[in-house]
Amino acid sequence: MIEVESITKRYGSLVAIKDVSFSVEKGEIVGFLGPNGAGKTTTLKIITCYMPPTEGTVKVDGIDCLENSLEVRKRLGYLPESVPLYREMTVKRFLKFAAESKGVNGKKKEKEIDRVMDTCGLSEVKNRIIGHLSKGYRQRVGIAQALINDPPILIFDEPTIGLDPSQIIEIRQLIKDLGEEKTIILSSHILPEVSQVCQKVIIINRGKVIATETPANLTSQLQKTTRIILRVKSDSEPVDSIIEKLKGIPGVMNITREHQEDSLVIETDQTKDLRPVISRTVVENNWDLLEIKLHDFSLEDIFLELVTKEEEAA
Amino acid sequence: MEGKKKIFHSRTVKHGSSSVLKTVIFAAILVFVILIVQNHPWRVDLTESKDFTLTDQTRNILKSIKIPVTIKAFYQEATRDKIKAQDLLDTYKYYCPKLKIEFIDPDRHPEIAKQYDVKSYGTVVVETAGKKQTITVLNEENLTNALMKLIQNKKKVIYFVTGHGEPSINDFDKNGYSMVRRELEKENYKVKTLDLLHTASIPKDASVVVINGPRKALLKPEIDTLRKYVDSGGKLVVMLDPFHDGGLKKFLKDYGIGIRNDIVIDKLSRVFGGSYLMPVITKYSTHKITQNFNVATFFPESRSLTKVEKTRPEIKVMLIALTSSGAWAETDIKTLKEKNTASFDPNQDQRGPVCLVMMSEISPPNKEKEQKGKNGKTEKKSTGNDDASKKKGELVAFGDSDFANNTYFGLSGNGDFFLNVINYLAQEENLITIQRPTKKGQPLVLTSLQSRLVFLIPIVLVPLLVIFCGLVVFRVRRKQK
Amino acid sequence: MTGFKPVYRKELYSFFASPTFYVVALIFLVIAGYFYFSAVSYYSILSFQGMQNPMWARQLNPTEMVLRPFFMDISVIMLLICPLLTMRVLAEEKKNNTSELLFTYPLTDSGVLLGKFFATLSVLFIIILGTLPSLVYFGTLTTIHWPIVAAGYLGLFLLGAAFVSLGILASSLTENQIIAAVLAFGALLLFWVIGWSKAFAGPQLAGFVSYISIINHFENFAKGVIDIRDVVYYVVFATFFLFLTLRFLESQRWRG
Repeated sequence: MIEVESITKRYGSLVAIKDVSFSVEKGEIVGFLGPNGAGKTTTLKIITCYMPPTEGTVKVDGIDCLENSLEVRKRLGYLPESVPLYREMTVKRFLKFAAESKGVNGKKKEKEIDRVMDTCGLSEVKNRIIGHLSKGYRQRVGIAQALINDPPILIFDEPTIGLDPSQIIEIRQLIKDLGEEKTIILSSHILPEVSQVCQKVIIINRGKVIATETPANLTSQLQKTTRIILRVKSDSEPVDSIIEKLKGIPGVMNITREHQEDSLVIETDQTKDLRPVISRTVVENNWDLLEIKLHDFSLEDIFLELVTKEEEAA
Repeated sequence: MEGKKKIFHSRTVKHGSSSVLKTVIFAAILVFVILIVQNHPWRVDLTESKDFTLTDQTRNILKSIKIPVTIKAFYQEATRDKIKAQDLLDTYKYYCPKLKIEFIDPDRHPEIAKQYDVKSYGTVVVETAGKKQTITVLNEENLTNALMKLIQNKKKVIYFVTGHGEPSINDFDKNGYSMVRRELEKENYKVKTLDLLHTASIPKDASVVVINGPRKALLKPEIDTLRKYVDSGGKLVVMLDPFHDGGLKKFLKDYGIGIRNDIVIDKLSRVFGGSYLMPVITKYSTHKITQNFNVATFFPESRSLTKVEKTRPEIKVMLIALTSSGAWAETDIKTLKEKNTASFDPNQDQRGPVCLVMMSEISPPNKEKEQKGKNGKTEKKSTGNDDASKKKGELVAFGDSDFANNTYFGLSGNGDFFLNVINYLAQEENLITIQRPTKKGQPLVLTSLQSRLVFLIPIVLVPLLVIFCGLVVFRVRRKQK
Repeated sequence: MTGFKPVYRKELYSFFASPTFYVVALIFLVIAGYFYFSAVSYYSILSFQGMQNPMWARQLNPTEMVLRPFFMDISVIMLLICPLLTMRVLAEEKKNNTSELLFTYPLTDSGVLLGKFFATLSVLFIIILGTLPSLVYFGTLTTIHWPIVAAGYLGLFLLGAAFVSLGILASSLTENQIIAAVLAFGALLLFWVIGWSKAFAGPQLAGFVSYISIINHFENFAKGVIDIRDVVYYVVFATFFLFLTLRFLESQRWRG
């Protein structure tokens, strides 16, 4: 469905992405992962024909983005980063513009607008001015305009950024539902989001693709250790001796002190959950337990991991 | 790595250069379109009286202009008259792109104004290849006629009659007329001599015939030739010195101009540096010849001219130049010659002001004396000499011929005065007549209600409507928040 | 040319929804109204004086005394308000990143640009038409030859097209609306005053300079003459600057 072949984009002397290649099959939901400035947005802008690549080709449905961009654009629904919208318009008027722009006219136009408003839950705000809507609603308007004319491919650039948790869940669910019929590319810098929704993850850093994996593989690759964050306090014992005692627990591999005095990161064997053992130890030593939790792997961690691996390999 | 860099360059460079190329081609096409249109102008005049459309006559003349013509218009900046002139000249320029139009503010460029002898705002000088025409009242008729005269290639011919001891136009001595010849040629005339004995009639190309101070009398056939010439619309200048009437006394009398055997004595002349025998003229009667002319002229040894009361009805006599009232025409020549004194004798001598220059107009004998009112086509044809019989004959008589000779031509206004006379006589009547519908004025007198509405509609009502619309939109949108 | 219609309609909506339009229209119409009022008043004062002087009275003509100066005055006010209308056209899209939306819809650049151009021009012309009621009323007071009025409005429309095209180009160069307005105003003023340099430009250049001058071509319309050369000047002017804008948009996307 989408074939990206060694594309490179330079802004003057700055290389935004370099030799990026990947392909997306029909019906896949692909996560596009990378930290800020990694080149995710640039790649997506190139796929959506907003800008041409300095090198390489992008084909959507077998059509070259550079040669026949109108045909490509007809097949795409795009939600740009930070959700730019015409804020002076009402929701309905804006969707009307989107529909007309995508060549939906006549009676079909009204139907299509109603359909996407239904899908995105916008019906009750349809006559309100976009600029006055909440962030969550605006996000939905952004998605709704991408859905108009039912394009087979959807591209969402950071669709959940800046939303509150309940909104994030709603949007993720919406994307998941959409994924049943459509090919979706989704960029994010949050791993769980990607792992929940996507079937494939493309990781990009400093303009280069460093991994293309399924989420399961990624997790298994990376999570050979489990991290537990522990916050304890003791009036009698210094932290160093606490660390010594904890290291005695079988399965604990390493303990480091976080920036907070009493916050400890305990790396353990992946195979078992050591939290019960640790908490018992704390109680036995009469320390005050403030917090104990499993640490989610953040993207930064994965990057550290992957980048280090890559550098080692080089 | 190097190779890839080249590809990157090639795609951007290709796009950049194709973009530049497209722009250049596009600009070239646009320039091409402009050039085509500039060379094939076309326009619609939507004004009611077609103010910006020239008549067919003018357009035909403009079509025949093949050489570059410059029109210099002397106007003050930012005046109503200038705008009007600009409109008219722009219209000419539309029909004839060859015209070059320059507006010159005579206050800012006095040197150019002086060079073209511009005496009033609104003077327009039409110029081409060393020839020029000046008009003081700019309108379509005058400008078109000026253009027409310019593009006619013929030089006008001024004939000087010879054979009776007249000062020669080829004589460079102090009594000669070579200066006259030189100045006339500068004014774009051809100057020829004419021996009346050897021609049965005045040549057809003659614009003006001049008899300058004959010493011997003209013979009867010669006078008959002249008479025929003047009666059929010829222009004649007769200059007679005292004591030499050239046998023309009767001839002049027939045209309403009387001469006597006298000499004009002017005491005022001393004040201007002349002598008693050199009358000075400082004031001129109103006539086209002396329009805008106010320089003193001196007539050394001049005779008086008088108006003959009883003349043929078609003859109209005008006095052009008169001395002051302190001068008189002395008839007692003997005393003057012997004792070199003279005194005014009220019984014999004519009291001043004494007329020194006179003009007689001879209307054509047939009733159809006006040339105007004919349609364009015949007018075009009639520009030749064929209809000379319908022209007004004109005769200007001077009581002196020395004033224009090599000695006196440069004195004060003498030369200019003589040239004015020749220019006047040689000028054609306007070759064509253009009648534009005169616009009726449309005064607007407002009642107080009307003048209030003139204020209210644009400054209150319409803006209120805008504010109202704005408020409606604002209210609707507030509901949509 | 796909994109003309939706963009045209969207732009109109945005114009009419924004307070800028009403403020600009209000200022324009009040100033134009004042010029109209003073022209008519002057005319009526002269008519009053003309009653004593028949020679003078013959010169009184509503076309020469009111219509022509009025159209010239409007062209000056247009110079002032046009940048205010055009400044947002592309700069705002860039500032709010909505250009990313607009240019990923299946619309051609030229369609989008023309939609914006004609929408702005329509808005401008609607504002200008706000002066029509005064002229209609003037027509009831005296006799106006209406074809001249039509020529005047046609001239204003074409002049407006030229102004708007240059304004849109200025708007495509920056994402700051103030800068876009200042740039447009500066460029327009330059095209306006360049004709004045005719006096000291060489004879070769003088013709070119007076051809380039944007206002020289308007005078014919104001006096009731439609000259194909003036029409072509404005059409070419607008086309050229729209074409340049198109190239700028394209190269901006290439540069990212």
